[in-house]
Amino acid sequence: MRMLSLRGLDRVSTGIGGLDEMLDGGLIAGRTYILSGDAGSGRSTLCAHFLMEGVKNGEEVLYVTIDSNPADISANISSFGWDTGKIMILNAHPRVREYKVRGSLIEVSSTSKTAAALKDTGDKGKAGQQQASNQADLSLPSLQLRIQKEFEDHSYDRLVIDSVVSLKLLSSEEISWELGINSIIRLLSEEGITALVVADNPKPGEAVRPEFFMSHGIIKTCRLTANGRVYRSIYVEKLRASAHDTQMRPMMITSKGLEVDSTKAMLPEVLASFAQKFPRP
Amino acid sequence: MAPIIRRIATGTPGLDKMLKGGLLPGSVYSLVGPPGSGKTILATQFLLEGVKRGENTLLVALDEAPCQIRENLGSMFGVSFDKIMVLDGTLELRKYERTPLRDVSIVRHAEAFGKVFPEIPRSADLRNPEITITAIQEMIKVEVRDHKISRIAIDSITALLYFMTPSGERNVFLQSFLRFLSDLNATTIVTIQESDSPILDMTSIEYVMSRGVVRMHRWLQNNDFKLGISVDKFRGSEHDESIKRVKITPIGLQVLEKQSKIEGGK
Repeated sequence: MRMLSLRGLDRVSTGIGGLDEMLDGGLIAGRTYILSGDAGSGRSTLCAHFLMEGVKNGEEVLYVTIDSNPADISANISSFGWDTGKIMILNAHPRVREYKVRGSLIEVSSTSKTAAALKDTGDKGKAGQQQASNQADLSLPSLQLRIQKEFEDHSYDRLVIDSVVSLKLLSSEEISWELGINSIIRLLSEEGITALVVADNPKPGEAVRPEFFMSHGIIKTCRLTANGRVYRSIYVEKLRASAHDTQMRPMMITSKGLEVDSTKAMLPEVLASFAQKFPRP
Repeated sequence: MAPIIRRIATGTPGLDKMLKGGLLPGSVYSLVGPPGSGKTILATQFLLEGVKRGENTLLVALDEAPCQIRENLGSMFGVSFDKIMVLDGTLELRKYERTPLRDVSIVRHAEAFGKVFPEIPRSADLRNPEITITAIQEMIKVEVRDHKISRIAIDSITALLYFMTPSGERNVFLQSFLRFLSDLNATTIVTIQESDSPILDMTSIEYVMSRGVVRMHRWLQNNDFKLGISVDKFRGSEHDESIKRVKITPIGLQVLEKQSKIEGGK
């Protein structure tokens, strides 16, 4: 759905109350956000909250899966007692995609099947795994073209790309990562979709990645093992056009999904380990 | 002692104090920092200060389309904001198809923020998908000449390098572009994106080619992410070498008077 910019800056709930509070009322509608986190820190679960919140409001939502099998994602979401039926999925999982048609990257991507409801994808995903090994790798251009194709047929309010981690690892020299990811973010902005793009946390000494400074906000999740147990945290690194919480907050995975308490601080002994990553200059 | 030269107020009084009065006119300055540290706000305050003094100012928008910048900052800065001229240097969608050579460059003109169309331009409506560093340079040159621009902000130069130069030759393009800017005789701030762990240092082209370098910092202290600012270099002028705390408020970015409890500088 196209958003008129003459509107006030509408807020969109993430589906997680504590996170909405940290964002001063939610994400600003029609913009693209980076959700960056350590492996196992809860990024996909956060995405599920975000999409299910849209479903609850009668919105159209699209889940572009790249690094996970849709069947696994569906199982994960269902484990919280949620009905995945209304989430549309664009399966870009490298080993499953394009098992019907072969051709150049661009031809393949533009003729690939469009999104299906997430609950219907399980078996196809499994079947596809066996025969996809001789297919070309997914690339940023083919991803962009597939999303564009999808937008021709449907209008969406929310979108998740989960994730760009392997895309970046597999990106070839000839197609610039910077240009490709910039173009995808531009596409999402032009469509006026509220989007979460999942990435991994930058490593120390790594040059800044374009998706981080092109996005309208950055939410980061961390996972840490200390005292023999796992701790998770979340913070808002950037949110253009809005005030936001500058504190790091504890995050828990429960049987109902993620819980963020925007009034609590991290435990001091855990915080010390997190603080090492962000030393005083 | 350096001779007394006019100083250019940056629009951020606390920063002027650190710069011992402001920037020296006609030079290029780098503003380095991680995403979300307030670089765009600081650069905008620099342009606004010019508007308030009746100068013509130019923002070259490379990270975000002008209508989005206006959504972000318009309410923070009020009516003078709409008088800043903005040049849309953002790239449109990649077409992933062969385009005839004559289509490779594009001409756009700056317009006042107050006249910016409130929606992001749709790539489908635009004929030329590519925008080059040469085109950007040419467009800046025309604007500076036609509108007697005295203050320029390029936000960000990282986007310019990432999206408009071949990856192996970025230093060459950067050097040439900074040289181009310093020949314009306007006072120019270029923003530079970094991740949380800084990798630029005094030997980077950005540092070497700038008259001054202002750096934004972010660190975690008592569960809270703090922002700071320092002047890492200012050729031909004394300057404060400590790191000062910074706060982003609903009316802009402020440098806090009290020095952070950190030993900065030397």
